[in-house]
Amino acid sequence: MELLKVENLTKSFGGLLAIHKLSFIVKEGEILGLIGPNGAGKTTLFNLISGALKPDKGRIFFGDAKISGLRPHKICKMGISRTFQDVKVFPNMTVVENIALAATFARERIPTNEAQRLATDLLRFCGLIEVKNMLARDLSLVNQKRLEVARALATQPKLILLDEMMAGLNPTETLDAMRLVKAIRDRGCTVFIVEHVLRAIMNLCDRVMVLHYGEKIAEGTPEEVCSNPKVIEVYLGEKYAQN
Amino acid sequence: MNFKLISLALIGVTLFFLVLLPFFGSPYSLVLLSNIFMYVVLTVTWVMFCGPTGYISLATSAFFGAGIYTAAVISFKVPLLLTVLVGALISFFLALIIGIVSLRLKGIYFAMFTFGFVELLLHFLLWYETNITGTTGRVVLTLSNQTVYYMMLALAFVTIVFTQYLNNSRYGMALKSIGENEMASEHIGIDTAKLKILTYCVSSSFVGACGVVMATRWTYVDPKIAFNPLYSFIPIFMAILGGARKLYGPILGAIVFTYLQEILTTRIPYYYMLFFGLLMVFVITFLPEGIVGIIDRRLKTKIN
Repeated sequence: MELLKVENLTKSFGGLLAIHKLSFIVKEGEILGLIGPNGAGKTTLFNLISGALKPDKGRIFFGDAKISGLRPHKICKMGISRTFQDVKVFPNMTVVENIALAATFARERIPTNEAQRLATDLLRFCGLIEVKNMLARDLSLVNQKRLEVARALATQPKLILLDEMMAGLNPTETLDAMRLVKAIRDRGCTVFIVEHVLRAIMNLCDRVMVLHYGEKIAEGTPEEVCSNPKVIEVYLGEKYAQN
Repeated sequence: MNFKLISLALIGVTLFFLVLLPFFGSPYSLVLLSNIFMYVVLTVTWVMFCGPTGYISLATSAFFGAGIYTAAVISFKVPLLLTVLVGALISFFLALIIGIVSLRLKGIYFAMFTFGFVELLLHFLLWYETNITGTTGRVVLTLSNQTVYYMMLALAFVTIVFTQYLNNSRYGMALKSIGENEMASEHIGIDTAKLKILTYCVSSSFVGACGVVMATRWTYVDPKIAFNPLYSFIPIFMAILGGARKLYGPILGAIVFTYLQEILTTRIPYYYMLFFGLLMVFVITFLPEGIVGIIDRRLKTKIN
């Protein structure tokens, strides 16, 4: 079952081709990893899917609906949610306000008590219950990242786009984050994740896709991708292959 | 709960007193209070949109002027309440135009755009008056002090109640999230463009209505009087003085500022603007959160 289908997607900024004729699908219930060198177009791709950017060419389908060209709030309401590489929490709101706001707007006319219940559930799920009344700006980086995930989940998505949620975390925090990603999938939410922490990608993903200068150069299981000579050349490096 | 009851009682008593004031107060007190109510409306509506979102609008005088001009054109022909309604509607649509055109502008660009819009309107009207209608100014219907007073009291009351209601609704929180991070708020399902424009339009229509009522105090207006850019800046000063974080901030700011202005224009008519300049510098440097900031700090130390 394909949940998201991208066809021939192209996006350029001035003369720079950020995404070039990219086609792929995300299957329902999987964890799909996206890796590639800096500037490969990973975040651009997320921006195109979430509606932050409009594609120059190509189409994106979510289920049966065409979503390319729609504004972000519409796409969010249809069931795609995301986190940001550079954390974008609402700094002067409390943790629980951040989450509750997302819960009340993503679905039409959700009753207040249901939104509250969802928020409490997500606080527990993401390990934020102890800091729930703190202002988001006072949180540590790891908690801000968790808050972004909780806020994204509060919109009750079918697909969540996680953009480098493990960057800047220490090994223990990374392990926690990996557990969280697995748990998100177990809740029934499909995961599409950009990550430089390869250990996480290897452990978590059912499939991995590799981008290089906006083009897909490899796709397959983590093992397949890691033994692909082209991937080793442009991204992993010879040393990684020897290990 | 107790605190809420006390403040409700206080508001009730104040309102009761204000409604009865025309029966025992001096004419001067009515004029002064009408002026205060006017600035309360201008300041509270400015904070309603610009406070949470962080968009600095300098178009208040465009909406105020639109109200004044509406009064100048139709006040002799239709009932007062209809004039107020038309003034509000015209301001609503002016704000809609600004909102749609400047949707993608942020920060200083939005501020400059709105400021330019006022000048554009002013000069368009000047051109229109001199070249098409061949007039230079217009006479406005005059109302009694008491009528103006009651209209302004009602308008200020409605503005405050509406703002309070908006701030406590989910839309108030959504507006705040736009100011905190607009991209993130779009990505959690908030139609930021629609919310921004609608809030701007509604807040502006209060300003338009206010312009209609206050125009009756001038008897004669021309475009330069109606679209005086000072009405864009004074509400911002008042909001800064009072503090924009809480609803009572802009109200307090408007009251204190208007009262000071009243006193100073009579005591030191030539230098009073100098005084305000110094006051602004002082407040921005030492009280960035205005009067609200002082009160909050006092309350906190008391609780601790």
